Amino acid sequence: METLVFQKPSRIKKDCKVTFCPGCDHGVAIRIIAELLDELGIADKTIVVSSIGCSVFLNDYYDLDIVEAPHGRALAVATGVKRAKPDKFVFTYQGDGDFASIGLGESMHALSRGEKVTAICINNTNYGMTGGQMAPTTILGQKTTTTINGRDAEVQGYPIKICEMAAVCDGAAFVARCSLDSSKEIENTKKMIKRAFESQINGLGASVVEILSICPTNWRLSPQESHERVRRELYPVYPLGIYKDKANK
Amino acid sequence: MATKDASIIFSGFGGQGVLFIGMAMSNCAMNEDKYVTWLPSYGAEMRGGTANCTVIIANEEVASPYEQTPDYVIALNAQSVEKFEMKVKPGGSLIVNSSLYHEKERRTDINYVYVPANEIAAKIGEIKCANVVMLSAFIEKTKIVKIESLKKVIRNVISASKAKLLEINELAIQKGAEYVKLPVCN
Amino acid sequence: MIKTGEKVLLKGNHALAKAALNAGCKCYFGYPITPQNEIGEYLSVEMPKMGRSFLQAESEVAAINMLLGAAATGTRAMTSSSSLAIALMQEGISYIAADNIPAVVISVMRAGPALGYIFPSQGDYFQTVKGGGNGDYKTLTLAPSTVQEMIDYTYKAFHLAHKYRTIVFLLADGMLGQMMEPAVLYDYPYEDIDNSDWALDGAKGRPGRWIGSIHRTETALEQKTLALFEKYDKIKQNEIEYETMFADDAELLITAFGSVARIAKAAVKRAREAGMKVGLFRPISLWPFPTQELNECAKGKKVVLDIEMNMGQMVEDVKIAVNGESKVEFFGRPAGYYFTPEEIYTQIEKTMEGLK
Repeated sequence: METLVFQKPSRIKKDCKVTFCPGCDHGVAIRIIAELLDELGIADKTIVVSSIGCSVFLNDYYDLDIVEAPHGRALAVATGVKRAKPDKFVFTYQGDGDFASIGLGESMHALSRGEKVTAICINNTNYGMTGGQMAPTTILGQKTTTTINGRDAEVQGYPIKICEMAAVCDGAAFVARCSLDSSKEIENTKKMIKRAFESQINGLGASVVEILSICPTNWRLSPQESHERVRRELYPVYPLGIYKDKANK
Repeated sequence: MATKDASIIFSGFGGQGVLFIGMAMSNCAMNEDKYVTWLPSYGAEMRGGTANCTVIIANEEVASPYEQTPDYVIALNAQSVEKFEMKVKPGGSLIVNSSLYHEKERRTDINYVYVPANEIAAKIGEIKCANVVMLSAFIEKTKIVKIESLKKVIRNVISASKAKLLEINELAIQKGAEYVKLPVCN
Repeated sequence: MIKTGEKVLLKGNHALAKAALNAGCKCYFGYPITPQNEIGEYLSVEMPKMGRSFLQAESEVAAINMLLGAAATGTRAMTSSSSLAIALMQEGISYIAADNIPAVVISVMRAGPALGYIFPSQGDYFQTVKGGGNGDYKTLTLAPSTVQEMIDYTYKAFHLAHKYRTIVFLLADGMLGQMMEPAVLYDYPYEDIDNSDWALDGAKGRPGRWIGSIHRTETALEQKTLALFEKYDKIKQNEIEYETMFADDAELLITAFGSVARIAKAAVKRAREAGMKVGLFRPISLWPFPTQELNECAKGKKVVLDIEMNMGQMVEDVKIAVNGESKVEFFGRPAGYYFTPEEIYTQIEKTMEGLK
């Protein structure tokens, strides 16, 4: 007797070929989002905003309506989509550079306005697509192709903490940081995204889920070592948890 | 060139309602089937506390709403006289709110008309309608448009619910027009 | 409330805003800048009453991208701005063009370069017509010259944007935005355009749609741009608009656009009254430029005199169009003082004198 233990989510393209680097966490994030769209029954009314970076190829994977935003402008584009179509479900999928460096202004303002959209921010502490340069989230001491001796607070300043900043925006309804470094954390990440999506569905305001992710290629580590690094080096700087939840005050 | 019936600059303190009387004048012209443009001083200029607008009235399409040397300047305060007295076209007129200006005339090639608009308005019981007194005096003096047109325009902009305000403004029109008919103005 | 068909005294910016509402503009995104603030101020009051969305963005960069988002859903939407702030929108404009989505951008030009001042200007002909964003793209550009035309061409801008799924600029200036003039507001004269075959509305019962500009193969990239230019060819065939006055027997042909054209008209009329053979050619669609039409018109003329309130921008397109059929001269002044009809008349006299 055969038992179905795993099914491809309905909105993952049947013929999709994964183009991410081996071991990359993007694929996992993309899958659990697709699962949630099915579970919440909202795929039919979803409009996705993709961004610039490794996340730009979202249309390779999702059989969904997708609009590409210029670098950093995902939440401005999402604002336009949602204002035009308030009955649709709108989320952005963007990297930390997109969200917190070039797009910090758009991010903070969309959150402060309480736009009823969800931002999924993949934080891998570097610019993956362009070859591993310093990102706003690169931690002190981290070596990148533009901080070859490690990020130095005296020179490059300190890393930006997305959830901590997002949580102070009055319009933000749900803010959480999670990780994909183990199956347990993947499960938790899915729960966090679900709560973020629900806060949009319930009209509570803007929601952000920051997902600590790995970039084995640019980190010059194996996927396993990369996940270990997340736990060892990133957890202390970027503690996991819910930073804001208007649904459960 | 479009034969201009008139190029007029209305100028005064912000709050004296110079843009409003410029618009009223423009509406009068439009209702008399003339071509007209109204152009305000705008943006950062407003911060200086003075305001002005230029109204051009013509028999055919107005080419430009700008005028460096206007036929007429209606100056509601002293600063406006200072600013525009030398710019009036030779043979043109400067209509001065004499309640707020007492200096000597600097030119001999233009006409000066003095209207103590604040005093007239105060007598009516509403100092704020000094602008309408000035406009009415100007229209009566120049006949560029009809006083009747002004009455109609004022009735259109002031809603029926503000009967008292309408009454005051109609009185301002009457008193302004009467004043320039006095020998002192001729 | 203005009754349809009634002649009223309207400010250019207000006329434009009212026309946008009549045209069914559902979303407005913008950031304050003089001399176009009345557009946003007016819409901020009226749009919420109509259940439409007015949003003051945190920057022009955000505004143009909000417009991109709304446009991707096929919604009638617009932004308005001016010169130095349109500069900030150029990246988004390039994206909207590449995405084949309909959007209206109002540019009420002011004096530059840089901060310049709030005075009217025509210094952004290049910025609009040639584009400041990256890559091969065109922006359909309409240049009104009266308050009435602020209404007419706002309607046309929405129509063309949706007809061709393209970005359309309405290029006005501070003079047209700030002045009042009698104008007639009438109902939007164009039919609704179906967008159900491309707009994003959630992929229900159909495959997902993607609106984006990235293409990873040489072929795909080339095809994408070629298709874009096929569309531009159609626009060129159908949407060129211009106006002439006394052009047929003119020895001197003036070319001018927007507010300068209306001033030039008065000077041309006076020159005719004085017995001078002077005419006017006024491009209304600046892109597509009436190249062929101007070429025809310039044949047999002794001189084409291009007049602009800048240091010479449209004159380049005029020269390409005239293509040796006549001599081309330029008379311009940078933003600051506005041309007077007298000044243009004097230039006409001078140019005519030179022909003797």
